[in-house]
Amino acid sequence: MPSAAHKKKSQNKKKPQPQPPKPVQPKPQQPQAPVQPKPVEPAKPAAPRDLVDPAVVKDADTKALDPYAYKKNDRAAKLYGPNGIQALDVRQGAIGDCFLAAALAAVAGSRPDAIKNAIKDNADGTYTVRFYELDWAGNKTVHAETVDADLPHNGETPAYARSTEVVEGKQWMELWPSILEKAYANWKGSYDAIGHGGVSGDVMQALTGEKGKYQKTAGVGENDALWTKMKGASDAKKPMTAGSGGEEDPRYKDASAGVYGWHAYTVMGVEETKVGDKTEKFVIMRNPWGKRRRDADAAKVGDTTNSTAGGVFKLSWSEFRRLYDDVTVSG
Amino acid sequence: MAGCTGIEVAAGGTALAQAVEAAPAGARLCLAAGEHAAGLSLPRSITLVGAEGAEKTVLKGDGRGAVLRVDEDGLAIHLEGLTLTGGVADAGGGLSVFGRGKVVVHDCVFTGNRAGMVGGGGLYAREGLLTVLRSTFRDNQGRQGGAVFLDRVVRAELQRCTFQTNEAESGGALRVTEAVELEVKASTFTGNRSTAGQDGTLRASGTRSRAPQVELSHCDVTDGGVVNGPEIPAQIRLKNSKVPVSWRSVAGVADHGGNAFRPE
Repeated sequence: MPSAAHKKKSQNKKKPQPQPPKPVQPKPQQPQAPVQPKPVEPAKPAAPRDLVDPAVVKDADTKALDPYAYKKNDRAAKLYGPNGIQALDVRQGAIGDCFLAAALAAVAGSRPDAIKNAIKDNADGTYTVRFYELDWAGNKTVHAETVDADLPHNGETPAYARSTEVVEGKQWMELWPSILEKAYANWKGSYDAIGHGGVSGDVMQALTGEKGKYQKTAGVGENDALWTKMKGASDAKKPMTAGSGGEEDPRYKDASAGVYGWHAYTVMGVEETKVGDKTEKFVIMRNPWGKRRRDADAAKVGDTTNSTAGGVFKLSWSEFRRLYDDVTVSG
Repeated sequence: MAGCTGIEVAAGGTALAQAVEAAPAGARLCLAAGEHAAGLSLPRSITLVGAEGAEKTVLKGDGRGAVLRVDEDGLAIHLEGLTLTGGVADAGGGLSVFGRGKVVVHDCVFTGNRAGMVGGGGLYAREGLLTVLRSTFRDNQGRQGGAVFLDRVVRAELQRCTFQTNEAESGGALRVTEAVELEVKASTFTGNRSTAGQDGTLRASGTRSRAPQVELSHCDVTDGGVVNGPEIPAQIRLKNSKVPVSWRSVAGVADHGGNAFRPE
């Protein structure tokens, strides 16, 4: 136990004076390890814009394809396939718009630039299509329709117009025929509005801006000016379509004719072939169904190329004049 | 030829085709009574007159196209006193007008014509001016517009016409689209039929860029409904007409006074 004297000594000790703060020596800088950038997660694509869809066709034909729902585009489909825009891409679907499908194929084959220039990819799941139309005075005006890529579907493929392009064995969902049909339907009011017949020349004009010129084929002779006109159009890459006569016409009763009544076809071109000292004339046609004949008719006549020819077939000039009632040349 | 001054055309054979081909622009052809083989394009302005009237002067189609067709722009076509029958075309079985010009039809009969791919069993027109007076459309068939299909930008007047027992999938008597301007005056509609819907008399519809305007005045519609649109309707005005009561409740059909609505 400390003594009392010891305690006193402790009490009399002076308080130490506050010391000035010691200068702070900066800590030596350590070399820093390079900052690794955080991995940037890829931006999630914005959800595609969903627009109001045109009404589907309302008639007995659609009942066979029930349910007839729109299917959302899964974003895997592209506007154009690797082969670009081709006439053979177009396949008419379940509605009565052969006039449109035949015209799309005609423009695709002759003027693919017109299609490319008509469709704008908005990069948000929608496409804006530019159409031309004439007013009462004959002036050309422009109308634009914006649609998304949701399409009426039958469970496996789009039920209306679609592309036939196949890539690596897989049916490629190439969108351009479907988008053009949808935009045209939207413009005219609905798929129903375009699903009961129409004029091919109107569609060709809507895409190219050029009025179609119609010519009747009945009564046209072997050396008629119509051949010269069609050859000129073919050489100049002008889109052409042809129309057949009435369904009940005896010309189409026989499956061997391979041409159907009240139907629009694409004229792919014309050609002349020397046979000896004679020149044979041919017209290259395409059925917008993507096949020349219905399967049952093809089986009946032993047409083994029906499924592979893309709907393309060749007719002699005289057969063409016999089976088709009119030709429309665009421009 | 009595009652007609112009180039006389005998009935039968290819006389009419040859006369049309040879006629100068603006010619007047007087067709004799009888049947004339038609299925013709009219390449220049021309007047065709049945000197003894429609009942006796028949233009018969060849089953491969319209009875008469107009494709060129700028033409003046005048048809009078003719029956057009037997036409089978994609559009306009009796008369098909694709050119932008002026077409006047009076005292004609359109009967037994068909247009199965597009429509307008009796008549199809898409551009220019069209006037049809005192004419009858009877028993024609079209995919759309059993009697008449007016399409795109044509401006038309149908006056004192009779529409009887025509048939279509849509628009049993009349089909009107796009930017058509149509006046129907003092005309009657009876027994026209639409196989697919309620539009035995009239189907009208527009697009997202334009819509038709239709006026019916002093008309008598015995039966047959109207479908307007349905997606994009036309403006339909009724004046001093008798129509089925169902017309009152169709959107876009406006009562402009003096109308009577008959019970169905």
